[in-house]
Amino acid sequence: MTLEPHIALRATQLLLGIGIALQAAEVLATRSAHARLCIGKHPPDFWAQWLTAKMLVRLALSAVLIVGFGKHLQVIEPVFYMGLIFSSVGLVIRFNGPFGGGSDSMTFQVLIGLLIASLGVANPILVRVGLGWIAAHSVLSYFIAGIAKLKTENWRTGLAMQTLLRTDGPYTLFAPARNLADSKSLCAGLSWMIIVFEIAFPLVLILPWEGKLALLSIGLLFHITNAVVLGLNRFIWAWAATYPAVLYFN
Amino acid sequence: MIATALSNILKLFLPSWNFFNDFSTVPRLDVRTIQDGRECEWRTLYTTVSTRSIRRVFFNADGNIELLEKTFIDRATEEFAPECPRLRGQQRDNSSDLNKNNALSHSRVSAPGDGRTPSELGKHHKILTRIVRSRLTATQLDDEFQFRLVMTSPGQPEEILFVSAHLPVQEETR
Repeated sequence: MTLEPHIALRATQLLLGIGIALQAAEVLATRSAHARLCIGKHPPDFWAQWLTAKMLVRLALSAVLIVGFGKHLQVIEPVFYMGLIFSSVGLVIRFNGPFGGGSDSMTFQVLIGLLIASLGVANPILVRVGLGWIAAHSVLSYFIAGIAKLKTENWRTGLAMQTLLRTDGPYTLFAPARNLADSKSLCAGLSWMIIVFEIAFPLVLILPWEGKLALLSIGLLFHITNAVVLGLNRFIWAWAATYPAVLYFN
Repeated sequence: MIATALSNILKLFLPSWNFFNDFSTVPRLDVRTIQDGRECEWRTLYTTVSTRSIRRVFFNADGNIELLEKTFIDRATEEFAPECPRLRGQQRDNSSDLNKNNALSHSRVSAPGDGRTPSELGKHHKILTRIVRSRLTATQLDDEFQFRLVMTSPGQPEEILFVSAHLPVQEETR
């Protein structure tokens, strides 16, 4: 079974659009707090207005991604992606780095891939290049993260997982997850499950269709668990948006 | 400034994908208020909280702004103490001058503000001041406050990296 490129692109647009809309809504809900963290000479009130305008534009652009371009807007599709890409660059400059962490980085890569694919009108090979770009970043993101954990003693022993789940650690935890930190062996087991999954993820490119779906389901479950336990909800949409491209490469 | 911006843009184009490095060290921001010239006890800025809310899978505005603030705390930690061995993942020498019975090591801080003026402390001092001030004004309006950056590592004494000068809780209007 294979996924048609236009279906893969449409699914990517939809998932990414939801992710960008969600982020814009969250930033708008906490724009004053975000404005205090903007780097620049202007006072926070100025940055609050700047952020409001920027997020409303992103919300509008993401709405088009969700609804779909249709035949009328398809001609200017690259302009939408360029708008979101430039807007992302502006946010990175203002916050001195990706303000949504890794999810911003993946969202950006998916936008680049969609931009390349949207130029497929000129040359159909660009659709494959765009989807390939997205799939490559998806696979690399898991694999590199897995290798980095494997090379780190604290991850191999479970200490990093324990610190992550500690009550006074860096995240606001889902209450039942706090108990997991009590058992170092359980934390080590969880660490190894993550390491094995992340390092094995590139297999998704050669597995049969059912195997691909199984591995991507595990990936989705992994991100949903992270959202529940650690509150990293934006990662769900950013990574899910890469899955249609991964499925396309069968 | 331009070099930093270009570096950040480059990272956006070429992400490292190296998440959750090792958690061998976790910086913490402490704060204390000064009422009528009397210094209160230090407390962590972010109280230990957990949630049972599944809602945040769909919408987590408060959680994500807190994560962003903690990113700035991480960056400030690197700015204030770039030479800190723990930040480089090195193990502390057993023969260090730490008092092992003491919960906190004060070895890196000699004076509030580390002897530097706020302008010398860089942009992250300003950002940290704003973060602390916003979270203080939400609960109380004391005269002054002070914050400190503490490095925590599992099984090791905590280490104070930086202590700010006394700062007004109410932002000065110009």
